[in-house]
Amino acid sequence: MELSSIKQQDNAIRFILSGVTPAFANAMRRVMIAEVPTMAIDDVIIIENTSVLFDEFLAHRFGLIPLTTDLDSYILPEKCDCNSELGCNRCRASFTMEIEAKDDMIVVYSGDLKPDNPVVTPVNNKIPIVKLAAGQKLQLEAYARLGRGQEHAKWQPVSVCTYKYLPKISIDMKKCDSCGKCVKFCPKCILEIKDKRLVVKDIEECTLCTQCIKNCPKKSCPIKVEWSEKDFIFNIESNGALPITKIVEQAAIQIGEKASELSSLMKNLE
Amino acid sequence: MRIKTIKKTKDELKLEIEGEGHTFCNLLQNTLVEDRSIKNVGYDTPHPLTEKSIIYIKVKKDGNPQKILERALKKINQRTDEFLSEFRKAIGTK
Amino acid sequence: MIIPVRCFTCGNVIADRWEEYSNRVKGGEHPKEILDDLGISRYCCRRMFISHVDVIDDILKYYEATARKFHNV
Repeated sequence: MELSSIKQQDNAIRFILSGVTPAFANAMRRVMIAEVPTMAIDDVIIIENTSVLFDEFLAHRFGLIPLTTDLDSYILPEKCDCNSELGCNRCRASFTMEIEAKDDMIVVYSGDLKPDNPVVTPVNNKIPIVKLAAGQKLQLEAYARLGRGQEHAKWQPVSVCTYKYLPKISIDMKKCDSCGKCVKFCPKCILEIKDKRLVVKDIEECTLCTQCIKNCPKKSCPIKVEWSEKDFIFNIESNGALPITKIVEQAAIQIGEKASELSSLMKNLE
Repeated sequence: MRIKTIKKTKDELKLEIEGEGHTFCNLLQNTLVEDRSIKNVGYDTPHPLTEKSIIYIKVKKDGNPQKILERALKKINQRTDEFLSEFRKAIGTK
Repeated sequence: MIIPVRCFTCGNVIADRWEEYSNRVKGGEHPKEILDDLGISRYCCRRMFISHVDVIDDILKYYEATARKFHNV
């Protein structure tokens, strides 16, 4: 197993993972999307709402705000032993909001939510929730809890989480006359003519579309597009609830935990 | 996670795993296939809305299905650990 | 009604960049340049901006008008 050409940019990461099976890559992807827990508002108690949006519309919008997640001090409600409907300090974080438009129209932002625990706050304070006209009022309490993407997409820590096989392009220079027709047809512009020879500029960008082969004027095309089923280009983007590196680590940890759990259950079976 | 044995003979094992779906079972199946003493492995999620999967293992004459399953689980553990150390090395922490 | 918090397709948070986008479009800039500038690269997220109409502004006017009427009576 090898990890190479890692590129990290704020909330996005891209790396090549070599020497693994497609099943492992897919398990990683699926866990990152559906099973790495994050915080999101789940219960909203609306005390007063005279805005033009319905209560459930507002609750939905609150739910979609990504919240900074502290996986060390919070646990999933199903693993908590408090048995309370709204949860305890270990399994929920609460917010309050009280806002009134006095003389002018105002915009209510995600930053107007006042957190009880300053560790769990909206990732972005500039998400507009609703606009209030003069005289309108909003008062509510919101409860956030850990959850998983498989339950609702608001608990998904990633927006993009994909992988693709590492492409391999080989050009038979004995047959290719470097006419440059494929260079024009490549939608990702990864081919170029350098010193009158056809070369591949950026292999990672190739989408395996084979447009270069389809548009080759030669009878037997000198270009061969293949891919390796052991190398994967991962592309992951976080929505800010968890740092991107933490999401990837957490996914690997969780797969390992599943295996250990099943292993220990097997021992008890006998 | 909860498991239930559905069938257990000398060379066969059929387990019902509650709380796991394609994510883990597909990985387990593909890891099991790598084992040489495996004759046949398959998994099924009987209904997409229930969180239940059934995994079936049949081994060759010399194998023990339970031991092979444990070996595969250990292999998964090793791979995730290896991934973690590689990843941490690549991003430059620890 | 009001800009959706996230992109319907990929789940990326987009609402935080709506105000800048709409102000700059009103200022006469081309939407393509603004979206590139804001770092919205996928076409699923881009259509969220391009196709959105902020109807809440129009609805608030009705609320204000009825409130004024009620106040005068």
